[in-house]
Amino acid sequence: MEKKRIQNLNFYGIQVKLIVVFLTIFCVIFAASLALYSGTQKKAKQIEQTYTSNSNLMEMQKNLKQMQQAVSVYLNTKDRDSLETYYDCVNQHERLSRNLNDQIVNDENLIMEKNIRNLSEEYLNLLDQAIGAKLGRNIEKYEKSFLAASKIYQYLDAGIYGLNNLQFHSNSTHYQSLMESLEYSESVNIVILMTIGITSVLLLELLTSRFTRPLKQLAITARKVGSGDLEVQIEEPGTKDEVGIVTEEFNRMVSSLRFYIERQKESIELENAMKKKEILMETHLKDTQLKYLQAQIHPHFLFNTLNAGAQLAMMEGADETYTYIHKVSEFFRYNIRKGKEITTLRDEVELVENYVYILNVRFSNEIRLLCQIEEAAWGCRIPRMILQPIVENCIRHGYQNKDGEKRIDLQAGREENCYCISIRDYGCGMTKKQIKEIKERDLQQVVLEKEAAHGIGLDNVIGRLKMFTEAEDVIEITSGGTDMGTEVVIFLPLEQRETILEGRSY
Amino acid sequence: MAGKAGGKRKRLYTVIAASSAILFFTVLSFFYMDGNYVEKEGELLNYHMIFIADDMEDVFWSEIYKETKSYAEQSGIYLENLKDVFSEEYTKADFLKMAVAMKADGILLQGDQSDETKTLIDEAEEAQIPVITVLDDCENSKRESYISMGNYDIGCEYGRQIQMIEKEGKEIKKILLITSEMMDNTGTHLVYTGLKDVLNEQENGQEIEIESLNAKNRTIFDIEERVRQKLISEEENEVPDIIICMGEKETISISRLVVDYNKVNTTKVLGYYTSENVLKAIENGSVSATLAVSAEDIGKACIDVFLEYIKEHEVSDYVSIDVNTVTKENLEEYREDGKEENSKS
Repeated sequence: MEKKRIQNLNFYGIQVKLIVVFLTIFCVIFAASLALYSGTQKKAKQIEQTYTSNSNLMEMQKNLKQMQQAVSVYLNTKDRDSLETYYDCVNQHERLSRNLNDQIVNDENLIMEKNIRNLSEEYLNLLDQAIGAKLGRNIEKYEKSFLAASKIYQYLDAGIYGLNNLQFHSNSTHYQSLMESLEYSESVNIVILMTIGITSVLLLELLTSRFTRPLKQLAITARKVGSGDLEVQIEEPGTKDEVGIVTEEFNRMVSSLRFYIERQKESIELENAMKKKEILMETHLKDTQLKYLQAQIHPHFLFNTLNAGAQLAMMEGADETYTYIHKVSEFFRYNIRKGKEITTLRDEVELVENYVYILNVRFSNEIRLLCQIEEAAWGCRIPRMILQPIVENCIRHGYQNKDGEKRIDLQAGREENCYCISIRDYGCGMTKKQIKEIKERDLQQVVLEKEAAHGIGLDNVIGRLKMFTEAEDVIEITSGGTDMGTEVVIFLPLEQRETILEGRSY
Repeated sequence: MAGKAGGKRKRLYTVIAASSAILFFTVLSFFYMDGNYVEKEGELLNYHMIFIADDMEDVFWSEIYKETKSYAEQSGIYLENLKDVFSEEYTKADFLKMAVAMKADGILLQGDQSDETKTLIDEAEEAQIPVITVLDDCENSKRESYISMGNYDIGCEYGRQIQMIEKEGKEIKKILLITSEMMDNTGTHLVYTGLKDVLNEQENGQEIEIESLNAKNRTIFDIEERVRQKLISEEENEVPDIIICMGEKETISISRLVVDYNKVNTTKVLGYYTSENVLKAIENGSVSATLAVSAEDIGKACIDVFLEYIKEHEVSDYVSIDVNTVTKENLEEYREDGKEENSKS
């Protein structure tokens, strides 16, 4: 129940809470001030009334004197006005004597009040008797009564005088005490008000800190977030007010920010990795090109020379020579061609045919290249210098120690998901270990090893194909074992990302 | 986190508790201050009595008034001395008239034999106000009771003290009896009779001359002068061997006179009452013995008689108070007893 109440309270907005806090403090201060004010007022009233009893007694004394004179005049002259004055005085006296004590109290002043009250009753009684006797023309009796009344009047006068002195003395003491009390209460009031003020400030600080602390925390955390620290999390105040909502949303915002930045980071990392890969490939290609550039002096020179040779052969009518020189020239031209790094299968096959032609001239038509290319595969896009190194490998390694016809089957076709290009020789074949070594070789390592290599190795081809297709199983090497020949199958994707690949070197 | 919240709550509770305490003490302080300065209502009592004596400045009478008032308060009676309020010099008759007009419940009066006093006592009795006479009576009046030590007994006690002095080797031929200014002829006569009866018990008792000097209507200076003349008289018979003073003032005055005239060894003083001055005189030997009348006993007797009258409407006509003698021998014991009683009260 209590929890629910607190929860309800927590749901109120800051404005309501602040109003409640200020109202509470206002009420406390107001109540305290009211108490202090009423206390001071009470004392002031007491001080004001201190000497009231004295003034009452003096009034009574004056009234009694007037009464005595009035009766005296009436008894002597039978003056009506005096009688009226007497009655007025009697009424006045009754009013004044009502304030006097009539109990037996253990207090000197109060007992004296009782005495005066009784004396005055006796006095009035005797005056009544005197006036009654005067009206009844009983001279002896009114004289006796008036004489006795006069005597009592003397006692009364002296008694009032004595009581007045006593009361004045006690009233003075009382007045002194009240004044001291007032001075004391003034000091106490100041102390109390100061204490209440300080306590109120403390209370205010404590109560408002409930609202301001989350705000301060929010500000500090926001600054941290601003400086890049997204790992911060604010402790939620547990209230459902504006601060609570802002804190909750801030936490959510920081969390979202963290998530997006994480994603962005991942994306950047991916891009970086791709860039790195690109750089690596570029290096790879450059390395390949370097190798050819090293030999470019000869190709260029050779190319120009061969062109000159071809023209000479043509002029001389040596057609065979012309064709040979022309093919050699074409082969080199393909190699030194710049800019276009992606080519078609057609070009690659053409290059292989040129290469085989050249070798056949050299090796007396020992090499027999059988090309079976499906029409759909001719346009297949492929990095440059892929097939020639494989064919070269077939001749160099497959038929290294073999005499006789060196058959190489080059087949290309379109499968369901890819283009398949198969280069098969019937040479010495490869062991499984050798195939495994080639497959497991690291691309990085391949690049480094190129320093010592001659020609473009199979590793280089595999590496470039992997980069081009972004797939691991881009090439398959199979061999039936020793003297069973080797088949290298290249798998190229049907949909090639030309836009991405455009302008890049593989 | 929970600890932080708990600490904050604790602080909040502390501040709330402190504020409440301050408010509480503020209110309490005001109540306390108000309570201090509100006129105190006196305790309600049952009866109001008025005490009237001739000389309230006399140590003996003021002591009696004080003791009686104290005992009266314990018994629910307010005892008032009108001389405390009425500044002017009023007579005993005036105070009696006032007491009647004030409708007091009772009057304690040092009586006298005057007709005026008698008439006023009778008037008071007619107004249903009981009058009790103390130490001095008003014979033939309608007073309810008379409380006194018994003058005859006092005379006898003085006689016994004289016998003691005689036994110490002092020859006694003449005694001067100075009666109190408040004592009437009857009282003086009774003292004289008691004294004479005891002295007559011895062989030469008849030969001892007793001269009385009544202090009534005489100033203390007058009495001193009379005694001084006797002390310096060249006639052997004139110098008293024993001076009996029946008033506190007379005792002090005559004892100093005897010292001044170096007659301590020849004239012995027997005093009355046990004020500090009288006890000092006993200590230094200027007074041989004094009669100790307990003011407290008198006060108690007065109040008890009044209460008995209220209850029964009838009391003893005469109530006697015991008298003790204080000499140099039992002075310390007497003082110790006095201290114990004071500490008890």
